Amino acid sequence: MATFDPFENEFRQRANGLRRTPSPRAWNRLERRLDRGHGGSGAARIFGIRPWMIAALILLAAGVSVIATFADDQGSPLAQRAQFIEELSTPYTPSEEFVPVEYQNGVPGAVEEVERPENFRDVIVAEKYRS
Amino acid sequence: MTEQEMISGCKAKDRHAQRAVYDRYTPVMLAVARRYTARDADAEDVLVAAFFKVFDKIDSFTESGSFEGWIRRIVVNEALMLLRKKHALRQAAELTEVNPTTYSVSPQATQRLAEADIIALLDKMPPGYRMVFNLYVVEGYKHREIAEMLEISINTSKSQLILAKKRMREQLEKLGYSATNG
Repeated sequence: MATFDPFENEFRQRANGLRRTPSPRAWNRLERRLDRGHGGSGAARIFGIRPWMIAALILLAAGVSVIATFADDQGSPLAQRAQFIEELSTPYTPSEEFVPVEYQNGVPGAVEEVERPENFRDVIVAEKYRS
Repeated sequence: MTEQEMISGCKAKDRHAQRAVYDRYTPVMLAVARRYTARDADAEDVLVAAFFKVFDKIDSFTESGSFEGWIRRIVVNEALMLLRKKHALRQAAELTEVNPTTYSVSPQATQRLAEADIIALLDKMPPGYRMVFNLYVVEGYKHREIAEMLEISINTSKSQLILAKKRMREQLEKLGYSATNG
C-alpha cells in the first residue's frame, strides 16, 4: 500500500466523498446496450454477426429463389392453369354411335388415296403355311 | 434488496437487480469517472461503458472481495481506456531532479477545500498529471502498478505525481486557499 502524506490523506477523503447524479438518459443508454448485448451471445456474435442478420439473409435468399423459380415457370405448360377440369367421378364410356367397323374398313364411300410404288408387293404367307 | 440479492439477480440477468445496482452505485462511480475525465459527458460515457461491463462480466465476480471495489476498478479502467483512445496519456514527461518537498501542499488547505473545488482543481491539470494523481492519491495504487496500467516508467509516474502536486499547490493559491505548510 502506498504511503500518503497528510495532504494526500485529506484529499483522498474529500475526493471519495464526492457524489454525482447521472442524467436519466444514461440508464436508457445502458439498457439499450444491455438489450443488444444479451440478445446475441456466443458464436452468433463472432465478427459482429447478429441473429437478426442471419434471419434477414435467409429470408432474402428464400425470397430470391421463390421469385426466380416463379419467373422460370411462366413459359412452362406444366405451370399453366388447367384449361378444363377432368371429370373423374364417372368412368369414360364410348358413345352409342361409335362404330369401330367404320375405322377398320375405312370411311364408306371414301377413295383409297394410298399411293404405292410400282415394285411394291404385299408380304404374302407361303402356300404351305396357310391353313 | 441486499447486495447478495443484487449480485444473484445480476447473474440471472434480472433487469430489476441491474437497476438496483445501478441506482446504488452510480452516484459514487460517476464522481470517480468525473475525476479522470475533463467533461461531464465523458464521465457519463465511462459510466455507461463500465456498468455494461459490470453486468456483462458479473459471472467473473468471485464475491471474495468488495463488490463496490470491483465496480470501481472497472470504472477506473474504462476511464483509462477512454483517455488512451483520446491519446491523453502521451504527454507524460520524466523529471530527473525534483525535490518532492518543494511541491508539498498543506493539509490545512485541503481541510477547507469545497468538494466542487476538487473537480475544478483536477480539471485544470493536464491529463497525465491528473491520472497519476488520482491513481496514486485517491485510489491508492503504487507507482509500479500505475506504470503498468499507463504503460509508462515508474520514474515517469513519480515525476507526474510531483508535478501534479506542484500544480495543485498553485491552483489552491489561486482559489484562495492557503497553501503554506504548517
